[in-house]
Amino acid sequence: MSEDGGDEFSEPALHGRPVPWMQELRPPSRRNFVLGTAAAGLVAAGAGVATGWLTSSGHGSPAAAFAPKIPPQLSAAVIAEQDMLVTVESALHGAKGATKQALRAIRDDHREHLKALQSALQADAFPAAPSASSAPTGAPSGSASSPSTPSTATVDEVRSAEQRAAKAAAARALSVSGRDAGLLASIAASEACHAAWLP
Amino acid sequence: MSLIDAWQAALAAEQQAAFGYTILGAQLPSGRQKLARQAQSEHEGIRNSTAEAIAAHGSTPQAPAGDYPALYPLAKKSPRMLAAQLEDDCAAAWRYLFVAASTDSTDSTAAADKTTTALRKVAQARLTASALRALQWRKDLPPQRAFQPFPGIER
Repeated sequence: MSEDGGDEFSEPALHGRPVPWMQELRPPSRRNFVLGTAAAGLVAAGAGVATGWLTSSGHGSPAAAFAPKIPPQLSAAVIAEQDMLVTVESALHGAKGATKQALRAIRDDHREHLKALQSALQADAFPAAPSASSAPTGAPSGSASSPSTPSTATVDEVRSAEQRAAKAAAARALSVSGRDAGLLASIAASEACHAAWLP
Repeated sequence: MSLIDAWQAALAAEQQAAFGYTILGAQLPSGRQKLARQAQSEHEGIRNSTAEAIAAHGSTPQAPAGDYPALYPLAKKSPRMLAAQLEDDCAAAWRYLFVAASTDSTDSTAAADKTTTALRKVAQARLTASALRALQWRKDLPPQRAFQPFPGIER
């Protein structure tokens, strides 16, 4: 993706002809990401105000009334991407040459996946979603202490982790719909490519 | 776009890929011709099974175009890039079908759910297969970054 904050995706086309089926799901631009963050904040603030009103006036269950419908698969996918980032980062420490280049490119993909997933969560108005400012994608922290993460991963371990991640993302994609399904399906394909690309 | 439209679009992409590989062969270095023949064979098989599945669903599979003139200039300029683009187009079409099948609400019976779940598994597998084939073609091309973060989405 471009770093200039503009639209990262050119007009989809099949050898010169516009193709509508390529248009309907794209990862968000930085502008949309920021707008999404702001929108999620507004939703959270609005829910908080309304919750306070309901609590004080004794109406029903405020938590249930305002709980956003977030697919748990998306939250799981965010954690999985954070895990992959930790694994790839740890493998980068001991890598050299072409392997290091490959691992860097793979790490960049996982950062993009994480950004897109966070944005999808925010689009679903998940108030607790990590925002761009609170959880920079280059510095994952959520599962850094996971006991399954080796302190220094080998390339074989990264490959195995990518294979597992691809299968898990494909399974998650099957149990959600719409944009989220398309995003998870694409991430699954990307992770299968990572596993195949590693030397 | 309806489920059947998305399915026809996936068929169209496979028809184009099967055709595209026939004009690529002569342009490729000998070391890559085996890969092209294998990819062509895979796309022909997918094209045929997709047409059969659409027919079994009760629709008429669309006929392929007689020719694909937009492919020739790139085949001559960079056959490997064309091969990668053919795969990208297939990946995009299968991903779209995956999404369309996930949101199709025209028939909510258990049998229909089973059909769309099966179709989504097929679409996911074909999206991944195209992304992996694109990887094989793109690895020889600059800027030496063979894979994309979002296969089927990014162009």
